[in-house]
Amino acid sequence: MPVVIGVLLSVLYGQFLSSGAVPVALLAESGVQSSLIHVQDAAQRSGKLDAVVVGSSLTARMHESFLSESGFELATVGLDGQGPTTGLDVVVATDIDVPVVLIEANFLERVRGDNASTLLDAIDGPIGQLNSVFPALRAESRPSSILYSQLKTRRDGGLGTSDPDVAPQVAATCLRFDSAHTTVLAPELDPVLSEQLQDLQGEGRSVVFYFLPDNGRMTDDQQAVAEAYAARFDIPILDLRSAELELTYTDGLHLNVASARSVAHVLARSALPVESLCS
Amino acid sequence: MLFTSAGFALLAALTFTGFYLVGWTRVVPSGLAQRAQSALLLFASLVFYSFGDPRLSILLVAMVATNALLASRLIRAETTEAQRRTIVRAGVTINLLALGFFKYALLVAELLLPARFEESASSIPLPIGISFYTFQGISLIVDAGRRNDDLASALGQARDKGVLNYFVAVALYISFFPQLIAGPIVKASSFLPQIGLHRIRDIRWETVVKSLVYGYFLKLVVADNLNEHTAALTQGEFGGLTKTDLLLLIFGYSCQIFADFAGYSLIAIGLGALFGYDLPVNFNRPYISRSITEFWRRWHISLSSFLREYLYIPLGGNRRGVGRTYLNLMIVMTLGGLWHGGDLNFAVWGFAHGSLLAVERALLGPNPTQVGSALVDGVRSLVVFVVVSLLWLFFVTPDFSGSWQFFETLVQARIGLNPFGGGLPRQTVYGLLLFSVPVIGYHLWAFGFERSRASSVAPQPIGRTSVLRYAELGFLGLLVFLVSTNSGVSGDFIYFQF
Repeated sequence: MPVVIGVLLSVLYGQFLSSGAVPVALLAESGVQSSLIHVQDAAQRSGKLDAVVVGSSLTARMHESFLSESGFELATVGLDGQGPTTGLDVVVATDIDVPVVLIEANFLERVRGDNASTLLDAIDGPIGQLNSVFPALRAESRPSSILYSQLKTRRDGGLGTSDPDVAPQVAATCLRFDSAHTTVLAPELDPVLSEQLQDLQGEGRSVVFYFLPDNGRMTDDQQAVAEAYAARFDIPILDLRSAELELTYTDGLHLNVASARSVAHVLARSALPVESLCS
Repeated sequence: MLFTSAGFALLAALTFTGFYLVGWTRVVPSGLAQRAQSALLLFASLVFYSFGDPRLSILLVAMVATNALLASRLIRAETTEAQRRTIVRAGVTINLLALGFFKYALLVAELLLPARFEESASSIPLPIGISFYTFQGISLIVDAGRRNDDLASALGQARDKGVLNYFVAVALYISFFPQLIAGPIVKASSFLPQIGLHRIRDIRWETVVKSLVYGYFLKLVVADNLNEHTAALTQGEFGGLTKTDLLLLIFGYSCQIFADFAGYSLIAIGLGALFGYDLPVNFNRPYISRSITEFWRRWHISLSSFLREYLYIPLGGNRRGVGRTYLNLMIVMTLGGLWHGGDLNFAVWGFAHGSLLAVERALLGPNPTQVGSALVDGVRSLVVFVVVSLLWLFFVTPDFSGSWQFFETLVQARIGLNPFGGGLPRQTVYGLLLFSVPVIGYHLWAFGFERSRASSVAPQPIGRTSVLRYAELGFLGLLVFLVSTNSGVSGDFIYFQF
């Protein structure tokens, strides 16, 4: 009987979620669950996406719904505590069908994280299949995450605007570096990330880097690493740090929800369609 | 194989179906059906144990065979008292040698042998569950040596049905999969008499459902979620944390280790009941204990009972004077600590508990669990909880220096009363507070199969009236809902490493 009651509650809960009566979680109280929210969504919408955004916890703040308010279909694979190599692992391993891959370049020097297998386990196999069928079982539906998301959003000043044209004149600066570009620091390129970029381009996908606003935390070393990859693989960089937006940080590094929403609008609008990028 | 894996669900479902199909059909004679059930459970246990690394089962099978052979000698009528003593000594020694070799070789090499032996010792694998099944082997040998009536009768009956039947019975006792890896530690005299023909109509569904629901809830929703938030303790990252942060972390770990281990034990009890076997209750709301003595009567009860019966009492217990009693307490608890692993941390943890037991006995007498006023009891429970929680530190930090660093930081850090204003991320504080709530609740509400806190009023099982019964069903349903929607990332049970 308790199992029946539990299943009925889950079905009812799923209905509330589907109808919007219960909002899904934009944030989670756990880094892994936050990452799962994004990864499950990306896997779920594979094939229907215009672009996927891959990065660290900075990117994780840009919820997929914010990016898609631009009119394009975008997914976020922003992973708490991880660099983009783990996110790219997820994109490749789950065979997410997407023509454009936007990669956060603030922390490209970060070593690979260790929770890619956890994330992949969560979307592969029978449990992953259940997640895709029953919305109530997804990470974004966890009651504890929804409560956290609501409390955190309220505390940080609300959701911001859903209108991507509130600041239409704001755009990211586009940077390009040719293969002759060198930096004084001349960083070594990580072979794993290099191979991932090579594979993505070899599959005919467009790759774009972006610098997210980080409250001036990015060091010259980190900038040099990003430029070196951009030069080596002929990848344009969208610099959102220069966009004239009023931004608020929750902890000196991460954007609050409203600011992340504004930045998401600028990023999506600047990057897509990719054919007109940097024009 | 984890209780939380899809593979285990399949194994349990297949075993359950086969087990009761054999017991249900009238074509198979009952004697044969009982033997088939035992053989099926034994087979499932071996699959469960060797899944992923079949080599592990070699030692298990060897230990089963050794203990079965020795026990068969012990229950023979013609075995003399002197022979029995010799066999018991040999049996206990073999079990302890196996445990010692696989668990403490590295410690011995580090402390006593030249450096070149350390590398060899570090390559010795630790067979999962060895601490538990060797203790069950010791229980079998010692009780058989003592001519325990229930055990002798059960072993004798099994032997009368043939050698194979006897070995299957002993093997099932030592390797019964619900409690093979992390207990509860079961005494042979309570398990073996339960081997018989089990029919589906005899299943105590209330015990099965409650134990499984509470167990999976504690493990998946509480322990697995807390696991991510207490990671700072294992990583030794205490810089910038306030006293409140540090206490919050260690109290969170206290709740986590309880939820993890009590959750495992409840799942084991539920699975045992599903196959018609009673396994002993292993936890009885330990964090409301008003003394360390009471704590050890409520925490890992099967280990405490084992240590008392097979170590403390043989050492003389409290029969050889006050000083020797204190010494015995410290010896038993230090060895109990080392049972968890061959690290200095575990020895210190056990010694600290033993010392506290001795001090408590000196100050409060042999029975420090008498009920006082609510206020006094509340303060005492809080003090015990804080002390026990601080001692868990030796479990969670990777080494002794990590524990020491925590205590140093705790002394030096500023107080920082607001947990959301300290050095821990808000996510962590939120997670620690939220997922500790069920453990606190668990200690405040009586469960149907548990005895309530010692008091002059006899405990009443909940769910007696129809209203309470429906409320309880609804509550269990809510827990099932939370298990399905709010589980953390599933990890190993903490006690698997022991």
